[in-house]
Amino acid sequence: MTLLEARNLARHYTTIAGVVPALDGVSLEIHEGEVVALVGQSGSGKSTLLNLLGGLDRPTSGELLFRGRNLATLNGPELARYRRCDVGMVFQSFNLIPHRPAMDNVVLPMLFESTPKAERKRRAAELLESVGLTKRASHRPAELSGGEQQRVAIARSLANQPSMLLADEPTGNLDSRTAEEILQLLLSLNRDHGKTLVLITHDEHVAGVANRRIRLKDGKVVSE
Amino acid sequence: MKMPDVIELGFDNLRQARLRTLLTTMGVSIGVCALVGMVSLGAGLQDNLNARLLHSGFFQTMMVFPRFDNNNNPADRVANQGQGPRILDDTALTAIRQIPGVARVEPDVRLFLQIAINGKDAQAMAVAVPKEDGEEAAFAEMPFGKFFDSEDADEVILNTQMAKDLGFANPNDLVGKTVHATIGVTRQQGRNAASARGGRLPSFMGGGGGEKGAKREAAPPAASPAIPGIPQQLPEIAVDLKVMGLTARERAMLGNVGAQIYLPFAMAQAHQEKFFQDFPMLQLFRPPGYQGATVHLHSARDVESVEKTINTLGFRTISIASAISQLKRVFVIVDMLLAFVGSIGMAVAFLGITNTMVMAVLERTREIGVMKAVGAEDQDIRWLFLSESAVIGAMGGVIGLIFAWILGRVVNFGANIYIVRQGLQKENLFLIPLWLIAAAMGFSIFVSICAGLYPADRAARIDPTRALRHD
Repeated sequence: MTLLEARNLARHYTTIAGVVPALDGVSLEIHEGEVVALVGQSGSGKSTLLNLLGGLDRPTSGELLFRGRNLATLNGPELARYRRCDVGMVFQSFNLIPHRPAMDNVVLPMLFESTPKAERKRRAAELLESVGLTKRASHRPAELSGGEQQRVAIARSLANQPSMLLADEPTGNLDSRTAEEILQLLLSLNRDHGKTLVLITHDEHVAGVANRRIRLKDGKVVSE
Repeated sequence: MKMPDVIELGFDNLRQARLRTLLTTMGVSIGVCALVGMVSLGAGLQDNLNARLLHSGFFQTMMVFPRFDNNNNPADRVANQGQGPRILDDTALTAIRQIPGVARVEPDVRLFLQIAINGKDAQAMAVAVPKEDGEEAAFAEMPFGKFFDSEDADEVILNTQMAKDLGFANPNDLVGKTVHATIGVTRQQGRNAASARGGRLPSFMGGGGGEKGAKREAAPPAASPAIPGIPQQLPEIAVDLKVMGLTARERAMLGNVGAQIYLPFAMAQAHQEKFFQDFPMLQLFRPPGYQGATVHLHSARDVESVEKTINTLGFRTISIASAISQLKRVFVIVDMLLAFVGSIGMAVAFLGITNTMVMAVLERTREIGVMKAVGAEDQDIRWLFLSESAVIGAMGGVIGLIFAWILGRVVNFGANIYIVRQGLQKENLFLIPLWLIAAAMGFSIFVSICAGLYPADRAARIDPTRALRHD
């Protein structure tokens, strides 16, 4: 079943040098429960596509359908709700809030969802446990290793039980052993919990674990 | 996002930048302190004045005079409606006493007295006081002695200033002593008589608050009552009076100027009659009836209606109620001016908050990006930053009120040292009423939220894709 479908998706940036087509007519489908790797060199349009898939940006033209609903036509709060509940994002640089302990970082998406306080705490503790960080709940990001920080970020991405995870170079800042652990954790979420996993990477090994690879070049899909 | 969560998060964020929050909060406190200090000074002064006036019974008092029917005077023309002029005699006073709302009526009987003891002397206007006036603040709160025993006793109440003038370093020593009083002439011979004298009696008309003067010789009445030939030296008669007490403050009565001394009513009236009998020449200049009367009301609310009734009876009235309403308007203007000066501090605090919040937005750009990426709406971000500035405003308000309170105490303390040294009663110059506390808190939070509007809007409009690339 198709979870996400892009139809002739384009995103152009206007700069002083003129219009730059970062993404130029991309069409693709992501099915529920699969692991997809989006690969390409830097400047290929990966990040632009990620921002569109994650609901952080809007396309210049084309359609982006999530469960049949066009994200391009959603208003601000609706798009925020999509980011909060339908998709979980994991970043290369973790993007945790530095002055807050791991627990609070996991709670954050639930704050915006107005989840009751007790429920937030309970669920955040559960998520931290599932990524093996129960003992680190009160530590701030700076007190955690890179792998631990990424585990916190993964726990956070699951806070509002999204059906899809978008991971942008999730192992890019980690040593190979930790990278493998994080990759296995993400795959286990796909395997055990049915989360659709979209990996944006230029690491062939990471791309290798995917069911399907979509290669981008100069803002276009060159191979699937 | 729920409001309690927004505020909690706002507090947490402020705690991250403790010094900056503290400094900005101090800026707001100083603004609030200046504003509250200024307004409470205005409120304190006003309260002081009101309390004094109310305590003195000024509002419940009015003066009644016979009419002159001088239609050149617009004020008189207005008052001269209703009955024609009437003599202010005992019949008229009885009629006034019957008016609903009138507590008591006291005809104006005044004698110009020269008081002598131990070779020293002083002069003052003596006012005749009925027995029931003993309850008035001026007498009830007399620092020395007590009120008259009876209305016809040969007694007098002097004031503390006069005690000094008579050479008593300790005023209490004068109480119980007998002084020699020489009666000059009634102060108020009426406007006709005064003008007939052609202003020859300036010290008599001026009220002569205890000023020392040369002792007047008793002069025999002039044989000829011819109007142009008024005697240069006015007649006088003498009587010994026992000093019953000393007043510290003036009595609140219209027409009273300067320090006064007091005589029992019946005694004073008897002496006045005797004075005129002894010097029948002066009777010519004495209009019939009393020259005026003071009407005391039960409540200040009745001033207007009673004034109207007395006017229709054919008398002129003067009350301070209208003068007070004018004064209140002046106070509103003074309060506004003080508040304006105080607001300058708040204007500076406004800029301080805006600056702090703009800095916070810049500093936390990436954080804002993250929050949006995990699902924050623009409104959530806006409320988050507004809550931070509101918290600064609330804390600044509380601290500013505490500062203002301390400042008020200190200034009060200092001013009272001066006031007491001047021989006056202690005053509360600063007053922070409950409404001012509420208004200051509300205003501080309001100003802070306004100051946070622009930064919060800027934060809300941050593009998350750029913010996440931001260092």
